[in-house]
Amino acid sequence: MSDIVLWYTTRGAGAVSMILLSAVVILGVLSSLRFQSAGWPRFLTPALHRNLALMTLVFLALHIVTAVVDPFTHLGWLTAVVPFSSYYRTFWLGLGTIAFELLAAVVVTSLLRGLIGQVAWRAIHWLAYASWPVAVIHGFGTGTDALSGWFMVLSIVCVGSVAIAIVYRMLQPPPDPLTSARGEFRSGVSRKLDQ
Amino acid sequence: MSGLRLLAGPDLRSGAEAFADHTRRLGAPSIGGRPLVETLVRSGLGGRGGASFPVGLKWRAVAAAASKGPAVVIVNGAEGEPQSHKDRLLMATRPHLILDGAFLAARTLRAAQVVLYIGEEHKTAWAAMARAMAERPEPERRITRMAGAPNRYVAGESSAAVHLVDAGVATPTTTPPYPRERGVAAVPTLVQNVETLAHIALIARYGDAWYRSVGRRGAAGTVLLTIAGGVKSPGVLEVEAGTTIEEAVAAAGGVSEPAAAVLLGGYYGAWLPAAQAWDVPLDGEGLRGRGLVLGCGVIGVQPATRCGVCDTARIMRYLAEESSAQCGPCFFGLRALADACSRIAERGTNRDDIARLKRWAVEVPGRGACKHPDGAVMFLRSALSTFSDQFESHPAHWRQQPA
Amino acid sequence: MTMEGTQAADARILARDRALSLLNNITTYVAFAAVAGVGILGTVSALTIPGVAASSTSSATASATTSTPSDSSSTSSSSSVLAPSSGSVSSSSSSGVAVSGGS
Repeated sequence: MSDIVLWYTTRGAGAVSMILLSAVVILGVLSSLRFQSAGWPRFLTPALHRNLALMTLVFLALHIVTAVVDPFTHLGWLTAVVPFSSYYRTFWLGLGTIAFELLAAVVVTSLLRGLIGQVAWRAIHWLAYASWPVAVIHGFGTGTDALSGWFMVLSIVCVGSVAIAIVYRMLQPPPDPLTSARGEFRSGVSRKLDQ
Repeated sequence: MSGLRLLAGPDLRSGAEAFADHTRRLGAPSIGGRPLVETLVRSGLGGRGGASFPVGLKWRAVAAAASKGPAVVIVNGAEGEPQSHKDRLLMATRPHLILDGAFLAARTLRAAQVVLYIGEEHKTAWAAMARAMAERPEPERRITRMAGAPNRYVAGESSAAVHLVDAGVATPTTTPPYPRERGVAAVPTLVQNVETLAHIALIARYGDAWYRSVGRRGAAGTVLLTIAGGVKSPGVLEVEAGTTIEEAVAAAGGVSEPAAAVLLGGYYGAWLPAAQAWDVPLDGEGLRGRGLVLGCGVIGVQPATRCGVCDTARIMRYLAEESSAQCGPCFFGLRALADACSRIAERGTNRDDIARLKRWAVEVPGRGACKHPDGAVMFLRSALSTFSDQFESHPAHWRQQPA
Repeated sequence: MTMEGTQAADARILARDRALSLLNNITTYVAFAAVAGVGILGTVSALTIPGVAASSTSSATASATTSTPSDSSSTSSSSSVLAPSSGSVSSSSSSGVAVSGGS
């Protein structure tokens, strides 16, 4: 009986992780717009993004641990870190491993942003955009419930919301209209110092 | 007229003068230290990088700021002005004059480092300066490095030179603080044009009275000019300060066809109607009194057959694209001005664009971190004044094309 | 920085404190909702697989031969979705059993 509970917890935690991760991506997209209002200072959106990202890792850990510990799945701890090393649904589960590792990289580098510098942090953070679709596809391919009604609805809502957020963001004028021109000029006149 | 002082010596076509020949011809500088600073003040030598800032005063300021610690000397051979050739010619033929001036500065100001900031695209000049450095004594070589200036208009600006040496990015920075107070590694930095350093090398040998012994119409010393455009022998000339534009153009072979206007001082300079331009004496101080600038010494002779409106639009487009995009008023303002000029040039005069040009020309200057927008607007206002008839009645070019 | 009156500074501090408690509140609510979500969605997923306990024994042997070669491909799971029978759905849940038999 407890094994079944583990299995359901894995699926529930996986679904919740997908919802949370979608919210994190949406908040990340909205952070770049630097929205603020009377009751919502500018720092709130990125701060919430950070909090929910850490929370996603918690539920992701629950999802992974219950999956590995479940005797019926016969997944070793290795499958959580080495992609495509499981017998069970090798490819789709491997995607999950990849998504988890991308997310872990994003979170760790964010916590250590002071050490790695802004440019490296930004480059790795863009990997987050990769982890989300990989996670969603993992959910479709691995999950038993992949195409059952509730999961489909959930997935459509998550994917749709992220898509809307991204399209909205891309349609906004850049917050600082000089950003790209300044960056282009700067990179043209940047030279490595040979000393 | 050429070969007066800086360009005196072996034929310029034979390339860079070697250190041994240079030393044999000129001997060693005899004035240094504090006396050199005062000699420079008395000479009235003005900087040749564009601003004509009195050199002696600049050295005094750096010396005072660096009294407690080291300084840095940046030899500015960026020459970003497209039509100017004097700096690269000097670097390619008289590198040791420039280097003498640089190391005189380094010794006088107790500089810990000398940087040769040379335009990347000036390959001959770069090679000549590198070879010349190899001929210098070891104490001079030890403190010197070479840095390539990116080929952008504003990269030659003093604060951009400092910024590149300091942080690897050749963008102008807000001043104050000026490089002479706080430059590379936050120490006082002397940024000096290569031509200026060459003059200093000779003043350090012969003194300020010698420097002032030539000159016309009350001006002192010699000046390198680049004569460009509708003249028979365009190129670099050395003339006495105070020479009129007409005399300088005559030394360049005279006009190749009747001239309508003259652009004095490069793209931050001013258009003058030819009739007014001929009598203008080329002397930093004197020009300032007339609201003009010698700048980097470019004299562009505009033939009457060329369209002043179209050329102004072309140059405004260039200046707009050379904005470093650090300040909104410069980036967007110059863009808008260039667009209005282009519209007039291509589609013909219209009231709205003329009004826009006049309005924005007042609003844009003084709102940038550097002088780029100010220089561009000065140029534009001189164009609106010199070519006012053409601006008011410019035809649409597409109509002029054969059907 | 410009000198501002203490009133303006107090207002800013108050606004920031309000925003920080808003942040903490939202985070807490989401955390509770997420925990509840695990329970709810786990139960929902259990209910949408009818008779799992019963079919795992009956279809274990039937699916033992078919599920091993399909472990690394999605074709079996997608074809099993098109087939409406619950037996094929449960074949994926019992492929865990098949793996244990195969290894």
